[in-house]
Amino acid sequence: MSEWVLLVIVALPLSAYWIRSVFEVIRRGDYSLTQRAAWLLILILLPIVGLAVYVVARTPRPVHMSGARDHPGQAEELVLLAEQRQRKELDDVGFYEATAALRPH
Amino acid sequence: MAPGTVCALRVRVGVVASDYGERVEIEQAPRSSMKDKFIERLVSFLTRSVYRDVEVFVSSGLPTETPMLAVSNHFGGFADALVLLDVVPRRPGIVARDVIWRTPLVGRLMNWIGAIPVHKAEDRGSTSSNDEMFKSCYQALAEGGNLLIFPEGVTRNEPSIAPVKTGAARIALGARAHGVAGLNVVPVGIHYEDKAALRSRVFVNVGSPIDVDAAIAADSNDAHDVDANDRDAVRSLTEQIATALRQAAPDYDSWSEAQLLTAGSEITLRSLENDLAMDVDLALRDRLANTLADRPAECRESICEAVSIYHDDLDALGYSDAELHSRLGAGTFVRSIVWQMFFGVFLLPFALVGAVVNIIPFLVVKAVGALRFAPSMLSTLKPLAAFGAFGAVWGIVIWMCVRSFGWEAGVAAFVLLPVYLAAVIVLVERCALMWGLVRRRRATESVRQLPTQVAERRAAVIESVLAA
Repeated sequence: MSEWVLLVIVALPLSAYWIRSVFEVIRRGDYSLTQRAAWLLILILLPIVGLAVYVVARTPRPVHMSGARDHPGQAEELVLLAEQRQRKELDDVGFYEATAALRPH
Repeated sequence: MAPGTVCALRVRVGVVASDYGERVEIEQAPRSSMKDKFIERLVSFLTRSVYRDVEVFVSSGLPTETPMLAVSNHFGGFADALVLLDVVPRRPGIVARDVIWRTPLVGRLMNWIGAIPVHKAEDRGSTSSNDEMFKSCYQALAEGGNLLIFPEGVTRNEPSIAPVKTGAARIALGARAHGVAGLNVVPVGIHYEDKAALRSRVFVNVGSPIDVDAAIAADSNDAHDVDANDRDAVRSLTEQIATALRQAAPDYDSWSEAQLLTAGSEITLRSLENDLAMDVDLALRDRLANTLADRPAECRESICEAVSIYHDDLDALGYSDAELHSRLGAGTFVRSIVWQMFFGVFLLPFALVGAVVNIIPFLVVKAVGALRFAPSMLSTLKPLAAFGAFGAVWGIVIWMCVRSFGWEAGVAAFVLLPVYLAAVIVLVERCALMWGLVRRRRATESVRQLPTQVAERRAAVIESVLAA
């Protein structure tokens, strides 16, 4: 019974996390080929310790920063127009005309 | 040396004039030391633990090669610093009030992350001179680093920007006069979904950089002579910073207006996304609401009135706007519920272990949350209590594992404890999602008998926002 519990509670998530980390290393575009190879070796040769070292030492994925899209949807278009008006790049009449198509009919 | 280059040595890069006119040597600190990397990882882990989602919008390119002085609103105390350390590139040095250094342990933490103390006359026991602070700021910028300052000088509990003080402008102008080239002041607005809540959403709105050289050239005939003591230049740059900050950060007359304008924005944006979006992007919602807050008073009143009337209808029906317009079909509903339940059953054993291990720190955070403090204080205390309590309990568990089963068990516990906590969080969030699905399905059924008056009042909200 205790072996089963140990298997489910410890070995299963540890294995799942290890597999996830291996795939993460393979797919990381911000690591060079040498870095990826080194991390894979560490993870394969020292599965538990290597996993702990990887968890601590891996470079965090950068926060996703978005800018205005080239083809904004209607919602984003409205926000961009409102911001242009706020910066005085668009007057009230221009804003009204540009948003005419968005008004409920 | 390019920013981000790993370097173990301190490299002398040049000289700048000190506050007193003589020239002093500046040494360039390594830009990416082991400590920097460790802090970067720690901040990233903590931010992603505290917030469910961090959205960042950059309106135009951020300077990557030249120094940057980030100026931000200060609604969330410690949380603001945490979020900005994660978001602003090239970990910025924080300029903070020296009273923070008097708190046990926090002072050491501030020194460790390289924060720069600023003295305020109204703080008891504070020294009167800020010469050292200015010198440290000039040095940090001369080294090509970034700085972060909260130019209002106080943590705010109101949803508006307090009068902006001259410190940021004086640092920028002084640094330029001391030879820092290409300096930009970047306004950053932090928008919290609920600043006192853990696992909520936060949006960081990065406004257009103010080129300090260009700003001075536009204002002054002799740009070479402008420094931190030039009152007109300081006043002018401070006004520019205040305007830019008000455009990037939340700036409403009252909490009621903030709530109604953001609700009006959300309803309008949802209607433009075919009504199917349960969660409208926090970034889009708050950017639109920010522009509405800048409109004349009669426009804002019209939106607030329309939203209030529509909300009364929604309250009577017992559904939110998102639920009422989600149009969740029976097939999609059943598939979503089955998938969530399957996922939940898979997570359950790990979530149970996580719940048992983390019950004490969870109760500690709940108790701190129940304290009668202002939301900005809670946004400082709750994350700190969470890091302290979870860290302490995890440390004890790891130590017990090492003592009982050997070091391998300790290493396994070190890896698995965050996984177990994540399992609890994901399971709770999935349960909330399932309850949301049930409500959306019920709302979809009832929308067929919806009085036309409700649809008309919703249209009135959208019309008032577009006409504002």
